[in-house]
Amino acid sequence: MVKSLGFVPEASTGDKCWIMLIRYSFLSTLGLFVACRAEFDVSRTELGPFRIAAIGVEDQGGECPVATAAIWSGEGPFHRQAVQMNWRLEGEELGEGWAVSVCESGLLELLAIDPEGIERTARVDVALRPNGMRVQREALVLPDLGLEARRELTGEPVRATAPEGEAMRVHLDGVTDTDSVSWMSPADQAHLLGLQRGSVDLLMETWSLDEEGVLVGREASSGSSSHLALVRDGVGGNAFLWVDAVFGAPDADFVRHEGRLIHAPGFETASFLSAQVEVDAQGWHLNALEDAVEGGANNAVCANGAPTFSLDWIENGRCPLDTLAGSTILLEIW
Amino acid sequence: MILFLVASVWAADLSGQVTEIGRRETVGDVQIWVGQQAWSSTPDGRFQFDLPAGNHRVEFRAEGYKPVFLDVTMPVAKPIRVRMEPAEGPLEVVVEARRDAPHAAYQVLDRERVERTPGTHDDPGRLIQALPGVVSTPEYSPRSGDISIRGSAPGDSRFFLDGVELPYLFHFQQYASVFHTRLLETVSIYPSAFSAEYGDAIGGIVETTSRSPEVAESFHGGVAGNLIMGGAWMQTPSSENGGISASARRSYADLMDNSSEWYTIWPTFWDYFARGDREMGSHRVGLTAFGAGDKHGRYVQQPENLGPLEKEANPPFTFDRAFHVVSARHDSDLGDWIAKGTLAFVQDDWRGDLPEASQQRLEHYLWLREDLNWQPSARVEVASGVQVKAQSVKRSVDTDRAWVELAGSAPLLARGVAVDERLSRGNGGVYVEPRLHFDKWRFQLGTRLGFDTAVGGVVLDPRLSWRWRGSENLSFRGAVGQYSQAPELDDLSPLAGDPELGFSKSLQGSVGGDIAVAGRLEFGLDAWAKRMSNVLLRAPGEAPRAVEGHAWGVEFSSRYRLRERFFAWFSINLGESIRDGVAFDYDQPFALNFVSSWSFSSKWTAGLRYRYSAGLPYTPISGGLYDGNSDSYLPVLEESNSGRLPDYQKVDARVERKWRFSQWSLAAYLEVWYVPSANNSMYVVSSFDYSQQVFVSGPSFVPLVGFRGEL
Repeated sequence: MVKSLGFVPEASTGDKCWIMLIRYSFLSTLGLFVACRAEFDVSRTELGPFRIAAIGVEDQGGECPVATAAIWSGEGPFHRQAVQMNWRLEGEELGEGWAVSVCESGLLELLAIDPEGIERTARVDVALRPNGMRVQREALVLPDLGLEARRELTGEPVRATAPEGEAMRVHLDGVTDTDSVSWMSPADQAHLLGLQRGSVDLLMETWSLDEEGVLVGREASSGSSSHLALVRDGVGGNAFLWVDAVFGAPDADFVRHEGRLIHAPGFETASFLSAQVEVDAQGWHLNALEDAVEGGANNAVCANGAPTFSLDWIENGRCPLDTLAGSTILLEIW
Repeated sequence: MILFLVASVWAADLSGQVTEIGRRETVGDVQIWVGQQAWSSTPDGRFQFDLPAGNHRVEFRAEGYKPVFLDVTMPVAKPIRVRMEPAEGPLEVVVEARRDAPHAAYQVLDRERVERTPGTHDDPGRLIQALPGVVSTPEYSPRSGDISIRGSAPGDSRFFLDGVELPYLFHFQQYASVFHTRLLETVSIYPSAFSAEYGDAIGGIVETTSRSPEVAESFHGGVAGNLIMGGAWMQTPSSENGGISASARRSYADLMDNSSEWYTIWPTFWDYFARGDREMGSHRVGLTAFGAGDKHGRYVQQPENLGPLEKEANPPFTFDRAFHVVSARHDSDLGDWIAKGTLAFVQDDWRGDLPEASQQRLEHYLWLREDLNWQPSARVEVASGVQVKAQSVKRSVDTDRAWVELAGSAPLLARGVAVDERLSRGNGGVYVEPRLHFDKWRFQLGTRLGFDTAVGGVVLDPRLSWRWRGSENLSFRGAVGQYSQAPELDDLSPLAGDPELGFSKSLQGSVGGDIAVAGRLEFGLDAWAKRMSNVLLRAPGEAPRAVEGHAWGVEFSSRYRLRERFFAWFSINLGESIRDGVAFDYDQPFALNFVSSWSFSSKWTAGLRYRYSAGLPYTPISGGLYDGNSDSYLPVLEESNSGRLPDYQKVDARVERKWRFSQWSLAAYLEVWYVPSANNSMYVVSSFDYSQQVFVSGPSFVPLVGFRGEL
């Protein structure tokens, strides 16, 4: 009986494909090992079109966990209008929106419909992660971007920012040996290089590549970037948070809120910040920053009575801008 | 052109031997003329006769060779050697469909034509897909090496080399067949509704035979190579009644480069063949050993789109498979009785290794086939025989998940079920087929009784065929019969398969006719149909399941020869193959093939080949479902096989130059292929979230050079 080897040729994309073909075709038939295809304009690590980026349940202090997700709007780190969220558990209707309690185990399914009617579906087993996550940052110089070379270097712990020209090394505390970590970024953010489970190096640089995609030049710059980290235990215990990195700015000008960095000069020692959300064509901004105390005003409708606000709710879709504009929010500073 | 060597005289006696120029083959039965006197050489080319002293012109003539004129001055001291150059002989027929075979349809490829047909890369296996009734697949696509005959799955057909079933037919990605072209005699294909001689197949039969070593009257050998692989071969008589032949080949891409971003081990493959025959009265016996191996290493996922951490976690996979066959044959002609038998032992070792998972499949089987043909009169002939396969498979799979990505290279890992088991069975059948000849008619009434101990039962397959031959240039034929096939032994695994699977069955019918005009232009038309029950559908990561199906087709072929220098062959296939209510994976509604070859002279040959075929079906994907447990996407499939790849077309061109030297000859060739970019789609890939699909294209333009040097 003949059993075909059935090997699928590897497929390159774009210029690299033609380079491979030309290089190998005349050397030998090794060129035939190469196949070509058009590039996709979506990427697993880049947040492009409307997408369910993460799904799970979280403990919000109630009797039961609450269904949650990270929905990427496709426009930017915000949602101008609400995404319709329909939840099902084991095939049965469970509820809509962002305050759906999940009191039983089973397969949790989500149908998310954006304002234009585009549908995305996701599923996950109901499981709570026992531990939260915290972000630790280091600054360091990376002359060699190779994995082994980077692993040999240790950075200098920093509170918020890295100097221009240096890399920001981010560690996620709370990641266990059995967890898997995925990172996703909106377009045009800092370069993200994996280091080990739960650790990445972020570089605010412009890279020059030769025709074969080999790095030949690096030019550092200043600025900030945001990245979504997803930690999962493989059986439904998912946690996700946005992590900011700032380069070339004074460390004291920023305060830390979960994985985020808020430009708040003079509030370095604050425990809580009160702010007003302003919405414009580019997205949203925080205005009227004030030192605040626990129990202060937090009147965003999407907070659903929570004592404090999380900026991740804006990126993830829980707090669309049309309901958030003008709200006063209370942010806990870590 | 005349090349000769004249030595000196031995009295008035002129003696010597005639051989072919550039080779050591002798030329027998040569007519030798001096004036009006004539002599003949012996069958081995030797001659001896008396001539008076003085100058003479001696003329040597032999069928198939250019005449040689030799001026000699008698006496000559030593025997002379006369070398004759082959005449520009008639081109051999590419597809000889009208040979007298006991099958409703029958196509044959011969070695010479395989070597000269564009697009074959010196490889007969690559030309099989150009035959009527065989599905044409894009080169180097995932299905490129698949031989789907008349709407069947590749696994529905059987492939034999010198009577022994081959474990696999092609090296890595169809780069080459697993046997050397130079020792090939014919490749025959019986596409469906074949006689009761063959069983345990609901598809077709591909029968490959090697050259008989006794053909060589002296040592004959050579080397051949192209940019894929190289090797050597030889044939020599071992005694007056016997001979041996051998070949060995190996790929050498790994010698130029050994790894890449994609391959951890560069693909390497090799094969060997050795055969020894001896004639003993009315019996011929022979021993054959052959084998092949393939090895490569690659990453499970394409590394170029992965980050450093992901690359580090991307497991390298190693494929390593080799088979070895030892067989003994006999061929006995006892007057009214003719007997042919083969006894073979086959080992097929198939390994696939990942850092934390592995598969090993070690198969052994003993193969026995004995055919008896009794012809008591010119009108009656009875063919009968037995075939037995005693098979044992040891399977060891260590994995905690299904590696669907490795479905082609490691199907046991793709299935994803950890097993450590030994499976065994006896499989085979007996047949009897009376063949009755009445004037222009021939009828065959075959019955085959098949058995399989793993399935547990026997199956009776009756078959009927007829042929009417009005003249040498006109014949019609037809057949109807039942065909059965037991599942693969792996399919019956209680752990990873379905032990309840039974025989697949196919009811087949075929009618056709051939007509020849002026001995040069031939037309053939065949229509066939199949109804299948309990046939298996396989999907990566799943146990096979039995479904119903049907297929039909019409094949038109035409062959043309002009002044025995130019040959053209044209075929069109139309048909449909349905399984489980939808288009089968190898459903190809339309395929066209054109092959031509032109020998300008004894030195130059050029050829052109063109093929156009409908794309094969695939299952479109409408989107993806995000799985939060694994942070991956699952495809949301549309109706099975409701999409179709774009039509495929390809042009192959070939030119060959041959040089003849006194002791040897050299041939060099250049082949190029061109596939228009719009027709170059091999398969479909999806974006990570299945929101987008694109076609993957193969190379459009590929050159290949090769050579053959022969003694």
